[in-house]
Order: sequence, then C-alpha cells, then structure tokens
Amino acid sequence: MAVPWVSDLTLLAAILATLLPLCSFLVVMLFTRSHPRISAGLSIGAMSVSLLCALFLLNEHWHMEKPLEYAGRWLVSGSIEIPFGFLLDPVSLLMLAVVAVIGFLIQIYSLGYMAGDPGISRYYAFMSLFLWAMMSLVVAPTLFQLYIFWELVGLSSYLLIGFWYEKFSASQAGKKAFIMTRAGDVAMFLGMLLILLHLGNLSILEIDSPALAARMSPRLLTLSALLIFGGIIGKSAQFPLMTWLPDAMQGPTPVSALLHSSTMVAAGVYLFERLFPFFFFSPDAMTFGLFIGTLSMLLASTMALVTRDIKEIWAYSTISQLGYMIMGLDAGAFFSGAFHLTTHAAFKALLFLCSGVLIHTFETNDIYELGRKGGRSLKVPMACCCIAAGALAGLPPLSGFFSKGLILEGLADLSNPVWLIAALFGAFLTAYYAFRPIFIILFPREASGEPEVHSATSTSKDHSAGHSSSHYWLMGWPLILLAGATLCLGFLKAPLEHFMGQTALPGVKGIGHPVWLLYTEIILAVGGVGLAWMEFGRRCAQQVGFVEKIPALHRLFAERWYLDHFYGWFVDRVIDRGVSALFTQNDHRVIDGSIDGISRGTVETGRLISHMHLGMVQYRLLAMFVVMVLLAFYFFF
Amino acid sequence: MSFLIGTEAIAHVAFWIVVGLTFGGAVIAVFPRNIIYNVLGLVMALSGVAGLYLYLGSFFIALMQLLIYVGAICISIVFAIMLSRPLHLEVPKRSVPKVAMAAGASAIFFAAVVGVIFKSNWVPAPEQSGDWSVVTIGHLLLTRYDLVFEVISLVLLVAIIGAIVTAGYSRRFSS
Amino acid sequence: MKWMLFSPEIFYLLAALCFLLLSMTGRLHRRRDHHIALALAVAGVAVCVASLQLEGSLFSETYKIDLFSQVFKLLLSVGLALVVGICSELRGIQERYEHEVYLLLFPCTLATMLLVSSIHWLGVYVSLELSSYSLYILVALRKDWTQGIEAGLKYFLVGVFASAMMLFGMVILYGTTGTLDVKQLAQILPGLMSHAAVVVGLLLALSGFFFKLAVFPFHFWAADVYQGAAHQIAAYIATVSKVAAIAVLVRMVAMLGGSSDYFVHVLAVLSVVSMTVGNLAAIAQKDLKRLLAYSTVAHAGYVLIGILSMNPGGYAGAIFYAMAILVMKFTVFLVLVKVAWDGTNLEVDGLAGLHRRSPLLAMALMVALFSLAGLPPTVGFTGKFLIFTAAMERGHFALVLIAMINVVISLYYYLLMLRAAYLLEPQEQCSPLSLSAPIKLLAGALVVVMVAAGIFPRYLMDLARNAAQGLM
Repeated sequence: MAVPWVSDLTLLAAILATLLPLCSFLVVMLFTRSHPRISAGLSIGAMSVSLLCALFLLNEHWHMEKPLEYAGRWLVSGSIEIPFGFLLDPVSLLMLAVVAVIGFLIQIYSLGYMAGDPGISRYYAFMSLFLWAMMSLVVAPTLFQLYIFWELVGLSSYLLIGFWYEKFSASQAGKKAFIMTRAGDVAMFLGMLLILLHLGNLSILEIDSPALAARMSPRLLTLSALLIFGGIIGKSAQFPLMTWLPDAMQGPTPVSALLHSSTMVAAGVYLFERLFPFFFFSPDAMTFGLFIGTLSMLLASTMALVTRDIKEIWAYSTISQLGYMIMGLDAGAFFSGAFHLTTHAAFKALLFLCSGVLIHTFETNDIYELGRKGGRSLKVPMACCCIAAGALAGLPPLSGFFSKGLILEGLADLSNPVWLIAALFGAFLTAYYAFRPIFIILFPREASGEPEVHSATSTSKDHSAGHSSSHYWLMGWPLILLAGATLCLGFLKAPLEHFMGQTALPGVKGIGHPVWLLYTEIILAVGGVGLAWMEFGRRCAQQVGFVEKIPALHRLFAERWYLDHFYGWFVDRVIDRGVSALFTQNDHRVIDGSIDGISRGTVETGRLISHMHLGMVQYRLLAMFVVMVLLAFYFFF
Repeated sequence: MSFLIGTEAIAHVAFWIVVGLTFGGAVIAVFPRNIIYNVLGLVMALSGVAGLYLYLGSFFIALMQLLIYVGAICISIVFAIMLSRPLHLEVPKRSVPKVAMAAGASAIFFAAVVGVIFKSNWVPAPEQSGDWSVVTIGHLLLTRYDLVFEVISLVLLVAIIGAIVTAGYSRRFSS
Repeated sequence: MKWMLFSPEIFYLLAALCFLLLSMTGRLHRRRDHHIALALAVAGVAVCVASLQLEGSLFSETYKIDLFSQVFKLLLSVGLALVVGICSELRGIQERYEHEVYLLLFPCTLATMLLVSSIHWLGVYVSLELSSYSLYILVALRKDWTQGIEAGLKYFLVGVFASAMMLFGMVILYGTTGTLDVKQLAQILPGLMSHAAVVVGLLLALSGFFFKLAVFPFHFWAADVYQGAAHQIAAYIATVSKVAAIAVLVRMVAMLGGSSDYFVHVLAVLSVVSMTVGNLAAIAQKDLKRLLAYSTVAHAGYVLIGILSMNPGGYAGAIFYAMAILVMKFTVFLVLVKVAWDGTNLEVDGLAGLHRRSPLLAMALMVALFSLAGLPPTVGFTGKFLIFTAAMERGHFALVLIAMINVVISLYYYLLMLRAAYLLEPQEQCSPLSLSAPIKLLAGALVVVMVAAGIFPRYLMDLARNAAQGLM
C-alpha cells in the first residue's frame, strides 16, 4: 500500500469531515433559509458524509504508531506564520467519531422534535455551525487553532441556547452561558500567552512533549496549567463556574443533548485530554484539578437530589460526571477519563433525547407531572431511559459501570484515600438521583385524585392523534441506536484502551485491579438504586426523598448551594456598586469625555476637509501646484 | 563702434530682443483686462520662445513651436473666446485675494525653479550627435517610436469622439 | 513569433474597432451590444491568461513583457470583464451614446495595458493620455448632462494639469540625463540622486500616476467625478484605472526610485496626507459614491506605503493590494449598481433595508466593507498586513502607526454603510431587488473570492511575489 496515497486520503477525509458542516451552515444561511425541508436535508446530508469520513478515519488508523500531523501555513510574511492543519491521533480520532455519531443522531432526532417550528432552517444552520466548530476543535493541531474553535463553540452554543430568543429566560440563559464561559476563557488565553512566550509556538505536540517542562520553571508551568484549567472549568461547568449549565436548559432539548454529551462541555475535558502530558508535568495543578473535580462532582450530585425538572437533573448529572472525568484524568489515569467521556457521550445524549420525547409529548419538565400524565405509556423512550440511567448509575453490565470503574481504580492508586471515598460517595448519590426520576415517572402516585388520571389518559390519546407516528419514530430510532451503544460500549474497553495507548503518553500507568473496589462499586450503585426504590418506587412509598425530609438541606441543594445568590450579590454589591461605580465615573468623565472629544473632533475635521474640497476648480489646481512646489522645496532642506 | 557691427554683438542684441519679447508678451498675457489682448500677448511670448529655440540652434523645434502654439493653439483660443462670453459685457472685477494667491504661488514656483537651477550642477549638453533632420525624425517615428506614433492616432480618435459628444451637448444646451 | 507577445493588446484593439464599426450601424441593440461586449471581455481574459507566461520585449526595448506586466494585464482584463458584466442596463448613460461606452472602455483598457508594459516615458505618457481621454469622455456621458459635463470638465482640468506637470518633469529628466528610456535611466539615475533637477523632475514625472491613483494633492477630481459619472464608469475608474496606476507606479519606483531618502520622504508625506484627508473627508460624506471616492484616496495612501518601502515585500504587497482593491471596490459598486438600478445617485441611507431586499447583496456588501476596512479573514486584511509588515521591515514604524489610526477612522464610515444596510428601516416600503441568476452567481463568487483569498492567500501572494521579483 502506497503510504502517500493513504495519507492523502486521510487528509481528504479529515477535510471533508470538518468542512462539510460549515458548508451546510453557509448554504442554509444564504440560500435555503425559507425552505426548512431543504435546509434540514442539506445539514443532515453534510453531517452523514462527515460521519462516514470520521468513521473511515477511525477505521483506517486503528493501528497507528505515531500521531499524524498535517500542517499548512497561513499568511507567511517575514518571520510570522500561523500554522493550521489537522492533528490525527487516537485522542482526536475517537472524539471526532463520537462527535460525528452523536451529532448525526441528534440531527435525525431533531427532524421529529423540531417539526413545525418556524425557525427550523436557522436551527439546522446553527447546529451545523456548532458541529463544525466542535469537530475542528477536535482535530486542531495548535492551541491557537483550538482556541479559535473553542470560542466558536461557545458562540454557537450561545446561539442555540438562546434559540427561542422570544423567551426572555432563553436569551438570558444564553447570555449567562456566554459570559460565564468567557470568564474561563480569559484565564485560558493568558495561559496560552504564557506558553507562547516560553515555547515560541502553540503546537499541541510540542506542548505535550517534555521539552516544554524543561524550558519553563515549575512555577510558571503550574501557573500556565492552572490558567488553562480555568478555561476548562468554564467550558466544562466545574466549580465555581457551574451554574450556567442548568440554565442552559432553555434551548431545545436536542441542543441540550448535544451540548451535554459531546460538544460544548465535553470540549473542556477534551482539552484536558489533549494536554494531558502537559498537566501531568505539574503535580500541583493536578491536585488542584482533582480538588475542583471532586467538589463539582459532589455539589452537582447534591443539587440533582432535589430538583423536580427532569432536564435539570440530567444537567447536574453532567456536571458531576464531568467532575468524575476530571478526577480520573487528574489521578493520572488517562484512559479512564477518555473512556468515560466516550461512554458518557452516548448515555447522556440518550438521557436527554428520551426526556426530550417525554417533554415534547407532555409539554412539561416536571417529573411528578410527567409521571401523572402517563410517562410510562411511551415504552421505547422509557426503556431507553432506564438503560441510560443504569449506565449513569454505574450498574453492570452497562457502559457507565466500566468507565466509572476505571476512574475509581485510578483514584485508588492515589496515596490519599479521601478522593476515593468522595468518589464512592458520589457514585452512591449518582445511582440514587439517576433512578429517582425514573421511579417517579414509572410509578406515578395518584395523589391529586381521579381527574388527573383521566386527563393523563386523554393527553396520551391526544399525543397519538396529534403527533404523527413518523415523528415519533424519527425520534425513536436514534434512541434505540444510542441505547445499543450504551449497552455495548463497555465491552469495547480493551480494544479502545489498546487504541488509545498506542501513541505512548507519559503517565499512563499499568493499573492493578483491586477486586474489592469492583464489588464496592456495584454495591454502592445497587444501594443507591435500592434507596431510590424504597423512597419512590415501592407501592406504598411516599415519593419524598430523604433529603426533602430535612428542609434546611433541601433548600441548600435546591438553591444550588446559594452559588447564584452569591454571584448575584457579588455582581450587585462589589462589582456594580463598588468597582463599577468607580469605573463608570472614570468612564463618564475621563474616557467618554476624551473619546467623545476625539470622535467629535474627527467628524468635525472631516466636515472641514470635505468642505475644503468643495471649492472652485481653480483653487484646487492652485493647491495641487503649491503642494508639488513645496515638495520640491523639501529637497533643499 | 565696432561692437555694433560684430556678428556676436548682433546675436547678443537679437537674444535680448527675443527675451524682451517673451517677457513683454507674458506681461501682456496676464495684466490687461481685455482677453483679446491677453491672447495676443501669449502669441508674442510664444513667438519669443520660438526665437529662443532658434537661438539655441533648433530650427525644427522653433518651427514646430510657431506652427503648433502660435498657429494652432492660440487660434483655437481665439475661437473659444468668440464662442463664449460676448466681449461687450462687463468684465468681472479683480479680487485682491485671488491675485495675491496667484502671485504667491508663482513666486514660490519661481523660487523653486531658481533653487533647482542653482542646486543642480549642470553638465554641458552633449554635442549634437548625428543627424537631427526631419528625415531622421520621420525615420525614428516609424521605427523606434512606432508604438507611440500609433497610440497617438488612437488618442486622436478618442479625442474626436469626445469632441462630437461634447458638441452634441452644447447643441442641445443652446436649443 | 514576436507578435504573440503583443496579443492581448492586439485583441483589445480589434475589440475596440469592432465597436467602432457597430457604432456606425446607427441602430441601438442594447442586449446585443452588451452580449458582444461581455463575450469580447471574457475572451480578453482568456487571451490574457494564455499570455501570462510570455516574456520578452518589443519596439526596440521600449516595451517590456514580463510576469509583472502580464499579471497586471490579466487583472485589468478581469476588471474590464467585471465592469462590462454590470453594464446590462446603462441607465445612467445617455441613450444615444451607449455604443460609445464600449467603444471607449476597450481602448481605455488597451491604454492601461500599454501603460503597464511601457518602459519608455514617451510610451507611458501617451498611453496615460489615451486612457485619461477615454475616461474624460466616459464621465461626461452621464444621462444628466450638466452633472456629467461638470464632472468631466473637472476631471479634464485636473488631469491636464497633472499631465502638464508630468511633461515638465519628463523634460527636466531628459534635459539632465539625455534619455527617457527607463532602462537607461535606471543605470544613470543612482549616480545622480543628489542632483536636484533630476529628483524634482522624477517627482513631477510621477505626478501623472499620482493623478491616476488619486493621491493627494491630485485627488481633487475624485469625489466630483465619482459622483458625476454613471455608476459603471465610476466602478471602472475605481478598479481598472487604479490597478493600472498602481502597476506603473510600482514599476517606475522600483526601477528608478531606489536609494533616495528624499523620495521615500516625499512618498511618505503624500501617503500620510492621502490617508488622513481621504478618511476624514469620507466621514462627512452622505453620497455613497463621494464616500467611495474618498475611501479610494485613503487606499491610495496605503498602497503608497507598500511602494515606498522599496523592498520586494512592499512591491509584492502593493501588487496584492491592487488585486484586493479590484475585487473589494468592484463588489461595492456591484451592490451600488443593483440598488440604484435607475442610475441615480444613492445616499448612504438609501441602502436602508438592503438585508431584506436582497440578503445576498447585503452580505456581499458586508464582506466587501470588512475587506476594505481590513478585518480578517478577508483579502483586504491580508493586503494591509503584507504592506504594513514590509514597511515595518524598513523601520517605518511611525508610518504604520498612522496608517493603523487611519484604519480605525475608516472603520467608522464603513460601519455607517453597514448600519444602513442592516439596521436602518427604509423610509418607504421597498420591494425586493430582483437579481438575474448570473449576477447572483457573480456576487456569491466575489464573496467567496474575498474570503478565500483572505484565508488562503498563498497562491496570490506567490504570484505577487514572483511578479515583484522580476522588477528588481
């Protein structure tokens, strides 16, 4: 087999995979905005081709020895060059495939979910933009290119979260997401600058090589790692920048599915994976990351215990699962994080899509109401939902069990047992909150009396009449496929581990397998599910969780540990009244004054000059003449 | 009085006459208020310049100067005057600022030219090499400068079209 | 075959003759004429592409054909084809003179081609005059006679004045060196650069090009002429004529201007004043074409920065910028022609509601304006970037700084136009603009070119660099 030919084909596939969504975005925005069917078709068509390309790439390079890097140079002038291109290695190939698969399925699903929405072309255009940004982020060979698409991902998620911009809360949520992630991005940008100053370029392969560690002093290394970690915190909604994610539920549900599983928040963890060796060089940053990951994981789990909004529950679970991934990575177990990212993408997308069907049908987000209105009558979504929740809880033999187990193993290797204990506790909570909504929906209590039941049955009839079955199945097929993936992915652990381990990364240790850990994990998961059953599933259960029995704790969790209040207070008091008042004064008096002065002066000068140009032709000729003569005079001095 | 009859003296006298013609013509071209006088002054000045060429030994250029500037350009200016403002109408007053500006511009131009002349270390012109007769010029026009020659014909074509177009304008304008 | 070298020029001469014959048939067939013109213009592009690699010299070494000249001939032919492309409805032109538009456009393009190849001052002068004369008349053909004639007359007076200066400069050059052959001058001049008459002569001789490029102080015609001329003619002046002026200026400065501080200073002064005056005056304009005219003056200033850097990078930058100007300016004029389809002048506020009347045109306008303002990733950014880096290499920091400030000022009025197109509500109900399919395609292609050449400028940059290489 001729090698150049192969690499050319690879390059072609990579270009196609990343560029087609952009093309469909442009075409839809420019030409087919008024034809929703064509737009959707275009966008799905483009996505399916890029899916094929991504799978082809994964298949082609299943046995790769070293990362492939394609670099072009953009704008070479003098000594300045900005390289761009593709970096194909196991990390990016796997992620590319994950993004493509999830994106494709969600686009199909959206056909049913968004049917009849007036903005469907816009929706598909933004979706394509989003996927383009994410896929290009995945294959970026330099931190600079990655950063560009990182911002684009943020921008397009802003557009999608605020998709129903008529809704005030939706546009507010969009803004919140944008601003909070921006706060992290500023830190990340500073970190990038630090690296750039010391390394001279931002090539990921070079940052990952030990050469960087040799060039920077340990402190600077830690500092830059922490700054970049700041970007990850913002993007992956970790503590303390976590509150935007639950609010981001305002967008259409498929968007949430995409956002939570494989694109927006996953980008943060992906960056961590990408720069894993770099972080590995700085133990302090690793410990800090471990701390943040654990904290976010626990906080989010507790928040998920009490909320009644089904999408919010999954949103909190995303935060806590991302916390798990970061814990795993920070514990030095590279593969565990990557693997959990992959399995999580599948089951989290599945969870959201299932909830999407429920929400779409019953038009409510409240789990109790969903149960009352007959959520259990939707067999396929509920079955899939159970599978996904099982994976989330870490029940064997679902995929989540394997990946979470790997993380726990990684944590068990650490000398400090605190992390492991916290993670185990988190696993218990996860199992509990994952099954709480399931049981509530499956076993509704007719607490509010007969009429409710009646109306529930009638709505479900309405549903079968109102929504054509083709829409239902459009949404159903992706669910079944994803459920299959959730079931099977766990057994791909060994081949994937082999695949990921091929390009030897530092810090990947051979991990022993303590058997007791496995059992503890299973016991805790089953225990969590059991507790949920006791409180919500049993025939005579009151459907009141143990947390809700302690009002103080309940309020604390429901108010998100008062984080939003704190931000509100902070923004209001410290920033608005203190700092910003000062700056406003400065703005008004000094800056505005001078800027106004300058701009007014500019405009006035413009008027004056254009006035001067209105003179008679003789004067113009005179002016030309005089200027030339004066220029000649200049020679004598 | 031998200096009066020497050829060199005659040449001197001729030179100063020619210079006088040029300057006098220039003054007449600028100052009188009657535009016909101005044109006649221009004719005088240009003839003076032709005399200077003669003095420098360029018969051909002197001839061309007379033919083109005195013969063609000044006559067309006269035509232009005839076709424009009737002479019996009152002439607009001179405005002092305009005169001042014109005088200032001319003054600095003069200064610049003088500066250039004094700053440059002029080399004596090379001796006339070869033959600069009309035959040679004609020859050169059709060999070395044939591109220029042909392009000039295009320029004339375009100029004629322009004349037709603008003539159409004035015809419509007057009717 | 030596005449092969001259094939683009011969082609355009024949095309001009073809229209001379057509104009004699008397009857006006608007569509037929337009189709013939378009076909000839496109064929001209093909001829120029075919002769891109030719090299040699003609007319006893006074006419040079090299990559530089051929690249520019290609640009000029593309510019002509584009302008002819928007001439399908010449509503701004006197009906009885519509023949003459093509009849004059082709010789004018021919003249610009002669201009970029001539390396003898006489040839340069004569071809400059040919192109100017054609334009004087084209400007005067405006439907509104008084407007057209006034603009044409102003153009003519300033132009004649500039030619007079140029001739005076040439005379001084000849007087001091005894030759007008640029090749010979290039050998003689370096030794004479302290010679006042030589330098002043050269400066005056360049003033003809300054006039063409609308550099201060020869920019006085620009606003009136753009405003007074029909849109298509203004588009031609803003694109083809400018490209030719940049070409000849680059060549002359590259061959003659080397190693003279005085020259660099003079060009720097002209550049700074052009930029500043152009941008400041543009801010106050209400009429779209006047605004564009002043922005052209400012762009001439940017180009001069590249030229006065006098290094290969600067020349390549100027060549690249010429390509960029051609596309950017033409796109704006395309929008103008389509929005002001009845041939009347358009105020900036007249663009109101464009994004609803024709989203495609609005987007084309946006990209073109971003490009003119020099925002990445458009071709205008790349052009400015190349020019500024070349200037920085020569240490002209202050100049680049001033240019940067000017770029910021220019952003103001470009955004004003954009605001009109996207945010202002039109006064009265405006119907959507109906565009023919080729025009839509053209607008789309222009957008793609502007963005693609901004993101992947390698090919064009290499072309510009190779063309500049041949100059030195």
